[in-house]
Amino acid sequence: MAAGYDRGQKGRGAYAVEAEGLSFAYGSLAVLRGVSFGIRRGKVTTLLGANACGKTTLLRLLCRDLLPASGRVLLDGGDIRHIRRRELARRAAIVHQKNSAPDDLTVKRLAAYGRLPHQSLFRGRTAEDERKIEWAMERAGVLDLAETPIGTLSGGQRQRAFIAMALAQDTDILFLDEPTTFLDVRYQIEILRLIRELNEAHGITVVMVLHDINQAAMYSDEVLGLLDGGLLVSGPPSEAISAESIDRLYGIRLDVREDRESGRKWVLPV
Amino acid sequence: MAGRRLLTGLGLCLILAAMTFCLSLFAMKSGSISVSWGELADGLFRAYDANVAAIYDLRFPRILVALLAGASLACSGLLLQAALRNPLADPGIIGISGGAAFTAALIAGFAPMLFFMIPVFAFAGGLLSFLLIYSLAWKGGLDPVRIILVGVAVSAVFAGLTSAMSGMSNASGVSLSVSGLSQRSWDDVRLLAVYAAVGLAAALLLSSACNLLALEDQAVRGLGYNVDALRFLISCAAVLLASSATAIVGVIGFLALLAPHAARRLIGSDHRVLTPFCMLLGGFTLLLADTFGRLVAAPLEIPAYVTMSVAGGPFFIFVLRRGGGRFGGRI
Repeated sequence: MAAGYDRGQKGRGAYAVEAEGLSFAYGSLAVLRGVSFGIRRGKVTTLLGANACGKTTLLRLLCRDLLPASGRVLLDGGDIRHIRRRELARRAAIVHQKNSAPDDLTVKRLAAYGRLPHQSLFRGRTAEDERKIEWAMERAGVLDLAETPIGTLSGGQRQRAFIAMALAQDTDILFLDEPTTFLDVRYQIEILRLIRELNEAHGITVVMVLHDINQAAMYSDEVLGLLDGGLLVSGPPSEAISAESIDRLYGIRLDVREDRESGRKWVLPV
Repeated sequence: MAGRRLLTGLGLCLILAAMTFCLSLFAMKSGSISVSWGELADGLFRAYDANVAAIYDLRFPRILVALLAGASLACSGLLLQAALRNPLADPGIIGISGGAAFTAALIAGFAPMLFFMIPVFAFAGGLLSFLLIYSLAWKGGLDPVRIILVGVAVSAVFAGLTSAMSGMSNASGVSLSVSGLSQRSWDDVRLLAVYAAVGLAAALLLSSACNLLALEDQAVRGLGYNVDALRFLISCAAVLLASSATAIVGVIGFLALLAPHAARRLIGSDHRVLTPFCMLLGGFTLLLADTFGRLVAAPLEIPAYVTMSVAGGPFFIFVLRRGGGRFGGRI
């Protein structure tokens, strides 16, 4: 079923995150059935699939927000279950789809929460922390909103404020669950460009869930297509995205075109 | 600039502390025994005065118990609202006070020699009903409405048990009723102070944790915290505060719900200043209610819980209507 992943052949280190035979069920409802793949270090990988195909569950398993019924997740080659909570928070950050915070919390205080995994009871905020908080807000484009209460932000600004919190964690891996949902097209593109930029400028490995096939094709190095709790396709978008794979993933026949110069795939949703 | 916000908060705390101090002075002086300020000061610091000695033995403990119990109850409500992410969480409504009052009455009635241990038993009772509510309401997550519904049921059971027991013991001549704030002694103050000190200190230490729990559980977990452990710690502090206050002054409704909401409107949702402010507001409010009840229809006394309910209900509605839609740190 799955293509392209074989641990034996590739040297350790090429993958930042690996899934080995991941299964998960909510009660008697099986969501994932033995999924295996590797997330390439320093690349942007996007999970695609229809609603309720297990994308979000898979993402939560990858960052240990959930534990699998069987199988395991490796982070930099080590079993994620053996990593301590705070250590994990220093190595991987996640921006969830649903976020809440008190209305009067300022953007800067939210971003500062991202430094908590690096602080301890006896070592408060340092100059290094301050620098990282500034950097995170600057990268996420909310530096001029630092003292603005979250409650007064627009949807796009809010999302970027939560991304700033994740960036302040200063991790090598960033997970994002549908970072563009609820945003209008301008903010969607803004967020995706930001993610691409972070990946290119800082080598951050990005794993995200997206709904828009064109955005996935445009902003990812690799896509993983999930169908009924299994991996249907994986690989660069130019190979993995085709009329056939879209049909099987989403159950709809779409016109898939290829840009002759860049080789980039795009679909006409008609 | 974030520092300025914090300073404003601390300034408001100081103002409220000063108001509480003035109210305490007023409560000391007012009542059926009337003395002048000069007599009061002389009697306290210079020479013996029978009137002042009576005030020292009767009013001082009452004032201190009101302050401590008020602070404990208000803080307990604040902690529960943070831990359960529920604007309606109140130790009275969800049955913690009921459980505490029941075990306190049990000990007072059947093992009065354990007087000094009553808050411990009340804590056990409060914790028991909290765990009962938590486990009954837990279904893969905490649904705010289910917590309240289960809590109301648990609360009703304990209230019924307490009534049944006092009915039985009235026949045998033992009084189980915890009688509000009147007839408080220095023993009560000492007893309450020990448990309140532990609970209030814990609440202050946990203020950053309370702030974090205003985020989604997943986000807090993503920052490397054990959310369940944080929630349990905060709840334990809340149960300790509510139980020890209930053991000494009985069930006082509304305060634990009203004070945190009013405090949040006045000072914002940052628990680093909200927690101390809420404690002060709780102490101030209960003392105000008690002093008012003592003076308004003298020589008759209106119990503080009656004043709290009658004045607190409308005031609570006023606060909620005025403030728009912000509840307990949610959006």
